[in-house]
Amino acid sequence: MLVRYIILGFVVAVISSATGIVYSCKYYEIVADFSVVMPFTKIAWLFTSGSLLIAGLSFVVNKFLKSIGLLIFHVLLAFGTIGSVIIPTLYPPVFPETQEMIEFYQGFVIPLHFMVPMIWFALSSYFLKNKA
Amino acid sequence: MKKIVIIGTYLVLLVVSTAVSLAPQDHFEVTTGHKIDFKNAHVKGVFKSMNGSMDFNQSDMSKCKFSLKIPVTTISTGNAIMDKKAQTAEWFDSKKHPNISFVSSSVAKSGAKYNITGTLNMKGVAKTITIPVSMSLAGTKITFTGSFTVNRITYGVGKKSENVPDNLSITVTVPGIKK
Repeated sequence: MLVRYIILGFVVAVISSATGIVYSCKYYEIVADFSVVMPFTKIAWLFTSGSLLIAGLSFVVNKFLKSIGLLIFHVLLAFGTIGSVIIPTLYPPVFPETQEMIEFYQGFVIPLHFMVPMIWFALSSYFLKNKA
Repeated sequence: MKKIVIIGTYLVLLVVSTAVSLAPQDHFEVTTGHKIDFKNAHVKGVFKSMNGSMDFNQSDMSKCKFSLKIPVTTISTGNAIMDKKAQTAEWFDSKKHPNISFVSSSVAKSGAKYNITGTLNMKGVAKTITIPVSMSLAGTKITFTGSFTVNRITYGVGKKSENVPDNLSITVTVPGIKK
């Protein structure tokens, strides 16, 4: 059972990293180049870490909540992702409203936040089932 | 056995990827747009040039390090004669001591500001000072702004004079870009 979650985590890590790198490559080319602060390797490591963490948490929640485990986890993941976008903006010293910050956070970082969860949602039904 | 290998790989990759992705990139090089203003009741001016680097990590102050250098020859008071006089042995002695330098030894957070303590070396005299600064971070750019007072006599810059007060008020704006 755990192995399925881990394999899903690896698959999501690979696909989301590739998607993130393609997206940032285009963004750096078309809008603004943030490759110094956010190199491709960092995006790949972040997405790998996020995917594996989601896989582990998903396994734990499904193990304890059994039949409603995946349902609860996916709701938490959706709200957690939205929270991860909103919460940092509540700290104005870190997120001043400059043009560069708008291009960096609102334009570049926010779409990245959704990539791992989106790919997780897309693939999880192929790998996982609610524990009866 | 296969299961153990997969779980082991998972744990190792989880730890490594988290550690690598969360490792802060906190090195900044001083970039253009800096300002070093000094003034007292009788004289005011700027240093037009500054270079150096800054390591700044908001979550770990022990990793913060500032190393800045100001070439004395870039002083500008708006008066060419005074600028020339400032280079002489009585004042900054730019031939023997071409740079004013500041190297931090510790950084502490104090409310919304940061107190940077370090050694200010001017005209060969090194003294420990603390500079309170505010910081703004935007994308790849960081800017520190602060002001402090320096007693020029303690650094051997000029002599005691009724015309030029001992204390100079210094305001610095140091922008940096991530490298």
